[in-house]
Amino acid sequence: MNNMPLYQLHKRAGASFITINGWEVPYSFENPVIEYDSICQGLVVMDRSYVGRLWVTGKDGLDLLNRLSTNKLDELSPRNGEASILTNSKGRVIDLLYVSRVNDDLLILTSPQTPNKIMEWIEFYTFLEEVNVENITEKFAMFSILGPQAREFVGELVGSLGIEMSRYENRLASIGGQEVTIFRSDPIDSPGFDFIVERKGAISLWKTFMSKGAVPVGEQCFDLARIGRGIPRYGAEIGDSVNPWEANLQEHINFEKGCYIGQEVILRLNTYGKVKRRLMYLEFSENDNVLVGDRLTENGKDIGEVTSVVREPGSGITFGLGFVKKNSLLNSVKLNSGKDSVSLSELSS
Amino acid sequence: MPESLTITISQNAAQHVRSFTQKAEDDSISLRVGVKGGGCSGLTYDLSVDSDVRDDDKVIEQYGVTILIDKKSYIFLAGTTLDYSGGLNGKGFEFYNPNAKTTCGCGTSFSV
Repeated sequence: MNNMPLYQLHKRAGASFITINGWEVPYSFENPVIEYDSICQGLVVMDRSYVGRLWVTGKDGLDLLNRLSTNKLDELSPRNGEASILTNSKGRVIDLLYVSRVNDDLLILTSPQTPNKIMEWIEFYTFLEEVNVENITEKFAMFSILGPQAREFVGELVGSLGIEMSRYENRLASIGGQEVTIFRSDPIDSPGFDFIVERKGAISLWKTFMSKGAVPVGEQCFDLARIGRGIPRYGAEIGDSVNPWEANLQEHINFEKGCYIGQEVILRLNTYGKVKRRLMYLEFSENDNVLVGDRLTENGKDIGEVTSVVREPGSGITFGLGFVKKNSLLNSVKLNSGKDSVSLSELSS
Repeated sequence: MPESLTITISQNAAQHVRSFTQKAEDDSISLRVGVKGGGCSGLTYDLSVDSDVRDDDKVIEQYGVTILIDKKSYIFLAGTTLDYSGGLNGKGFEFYNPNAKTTCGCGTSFSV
């Protein structure tokens, strides 16, 4: 079991925990209603130290990653970044990477489950290139400031650079005498800033956020926000049985950059209409005990499955995400495990 | 090492390589054959001229051409024949690689 750098502090603050890939991660602090309201209307701070972080050095890092993934990375200027999908030769998703250039090096955020897998993938494809990859996940803590007021909050903390940062950009800042890398990765689409700091400085930085009024939240709140906005997650909607079209990740594909691993298959799937299912937003009528893996049916025929499900604190509305067959009519969709009828909505792409 | 596990260059390909190494008027120039990550299928062939021999290079001489292959690329290229077809319909340099299980549509990328 990996300990979050601030595990004891979170425990004393009344957090409940869940385990994600061997990390004990705060699930909720004391009031899920306030947490969810804050991420939707205000701003929150979340300890995401379990998110995978790789540090790539060597002059060929950008060129190699450009050849291995779907977005155009080879012309990134310092401080800029992109989200790019690592796919295999069958066009299946290995992970969605958030890549940002820090001077001549690269910071990559991965899913919690994948940093070592991705490091090995990059190393396998390194031949004569000068590329070195280090997994720095456990060396640093990472806290995310999320919510509609995040930009103003970061601006107050570090000055105008917080306001000026665009999506996937990074900046170095000094907070309380400590060097902090700030990366605007927008993990739930609205402005979201990741603060990466050495473990020894983690408590002090967390306390700074708390003293300035950020509401601490856990996984429950994060999942509510990301599911409500239709954002796929590794292990639920992202993995090697899924292609980027199915997971609604096409915004991270550059169609003009040329070859990368999986390109031919990915383009052919779209050109010849071979994408068989799509990710959709689901809302359940009866709030039954809906579970991940529950099947969706239409007139008795199986049309898909639930991949993520949450219940909104307060209202009790149950909603989720799921893969649905492309040719289904979406009339009178039900859960085959209960009496719920399910309303489905397209996700914006 | 059995003949089939070396890398072979055809006479045609060797002649074409010699034509541009001679233009360079540098006797130390060799043909570097390697593999890079990328391409639709995962790995792509990489050809360049090089005058530096690395410690772990496999060095092969054939038809007056020196071929350099780095150790890691050699794992994926052992047994390969490098050919050249010119003219209007020619494809330029072509690799016949027995290790390639799949190749992409244009033939420059492969997987093992």
